[in-house]
Amino acid sequence: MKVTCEYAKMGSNHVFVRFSYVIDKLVNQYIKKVYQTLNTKQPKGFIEAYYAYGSLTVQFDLTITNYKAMKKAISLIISDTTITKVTKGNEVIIPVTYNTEFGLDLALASDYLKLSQDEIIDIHSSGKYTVYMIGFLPGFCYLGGLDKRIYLPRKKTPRLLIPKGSVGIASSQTGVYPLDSPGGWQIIGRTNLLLYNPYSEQPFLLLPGDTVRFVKK
Amino acid sequence: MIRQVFLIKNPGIYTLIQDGGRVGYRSFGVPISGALDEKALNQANYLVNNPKGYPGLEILSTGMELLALADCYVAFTGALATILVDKKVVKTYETLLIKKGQTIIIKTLKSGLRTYLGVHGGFVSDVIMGSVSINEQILIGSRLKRDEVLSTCKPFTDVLIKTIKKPVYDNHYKVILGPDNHKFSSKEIKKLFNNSYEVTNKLSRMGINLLGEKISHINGADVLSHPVMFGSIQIPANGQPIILLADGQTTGGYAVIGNICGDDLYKLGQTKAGDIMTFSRSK
Repeated sequence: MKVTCEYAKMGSNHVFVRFSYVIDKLVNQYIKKVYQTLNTKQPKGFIEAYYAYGSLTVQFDLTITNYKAMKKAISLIISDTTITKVTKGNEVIIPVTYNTEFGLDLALASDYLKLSQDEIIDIHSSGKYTVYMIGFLPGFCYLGGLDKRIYLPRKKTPRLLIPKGSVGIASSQTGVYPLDSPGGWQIIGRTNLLLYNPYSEQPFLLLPGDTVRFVKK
Repeated sequence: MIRQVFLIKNPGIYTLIQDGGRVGYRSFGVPISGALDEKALNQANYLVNNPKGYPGLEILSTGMELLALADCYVAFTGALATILVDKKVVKTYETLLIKKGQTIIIKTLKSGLRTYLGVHGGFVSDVIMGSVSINEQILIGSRLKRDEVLSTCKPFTDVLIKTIKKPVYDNHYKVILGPDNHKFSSKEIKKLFNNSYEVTNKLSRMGINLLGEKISHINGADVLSHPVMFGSIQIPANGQPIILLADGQTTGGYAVIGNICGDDLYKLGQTKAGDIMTFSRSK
């Protein structure tokens, strides 16, 4: 698979690389691979890389390198990267209490989707999901692989407070709020599992590349 | 060695310990945090003979009062504030020796928003993911409270008395276009550079919401969520710019018209509601 990309300056000390304008699982895996290689190879002046569905950004140290040199280092890594060598992550099981008390939008979702609450729960808890990206909040994973039958649009007006552990859906994505936070995802259940604990040796339950299963509690 | 240096008599409105920031965790969704006005923090560090990025206090506005529990060298930088030590006005941008028993008060603010206090040895606090910077939103530490004691990890030693020039704090910012400039016609992009924008009262360590000439998109405001950073200028659907700051989210789905140049970022830490910002295009 041939992946094309375009480069842009992001501020004075970041290189922005766009691989895709739309969600594409293969492209996302490819970006993950580039991200991993950057971290292993640590090109001269590399500070950190972070990525999303279709793009990646690299911060560099302006006192050691410059935009042109870092862009070159990234493009060399990209030209050496093939999609076949994706490193598989862990499989993480997340127990979820699905009900109307914790699933603030479960009843609405049932009306909207013309499915019973149990059907929604069965479909959501039988899927296998991949961590596409982490962003928005520490440990907030955007999980791909949602069954089309339970796609839900974001709420028109975001909630001011979504409790920590809430499991939600936003169009083709599902995910878990790691912290109390405002948000617009449709909430169908809640987990007690801590996805983020800054005081722990390993602050994050999920890492890029992990796969996730939700099980009904 | 831990040496207690200050007792907080009054924490003021919002005082945080901040250092050079949390590096290497944005791929996990963790903002960089760190001093919003990093130049001021590092000038304070220079004045008290600390390396760059050492933890100092970031003091929002006025009202903070500290009692010195031991002799220590300090420096105040950042906002143009009236600072009293035992009721006498002291200089900012200069190394000061504070004696045990003296009281420091941040009294009035003439311009700017955040005063930085550096102490020789830096302030001691829990290191979380490589940084002591407090970020309440993500459960890392909390704002300083009355009766809290602040410590440094260095014994008392004399340091050279130095002064340093206060940098320029205008509200003009150089902007590097992209990465979503394809979402705007050149006419809309020019609006950012040909108009001034007012800082609204919607501002925090996460971002600054501006108000001014509306900037319209080609085909909607949203883009596929991508990395954003300190200094990213997002244009949401209402066409009013949002500038992300150090505690801002790591990825975002609003089109980013451009990013503020690194050497102008420090000024964002001193902007306050009602300030007028202007922008110019940079390569």
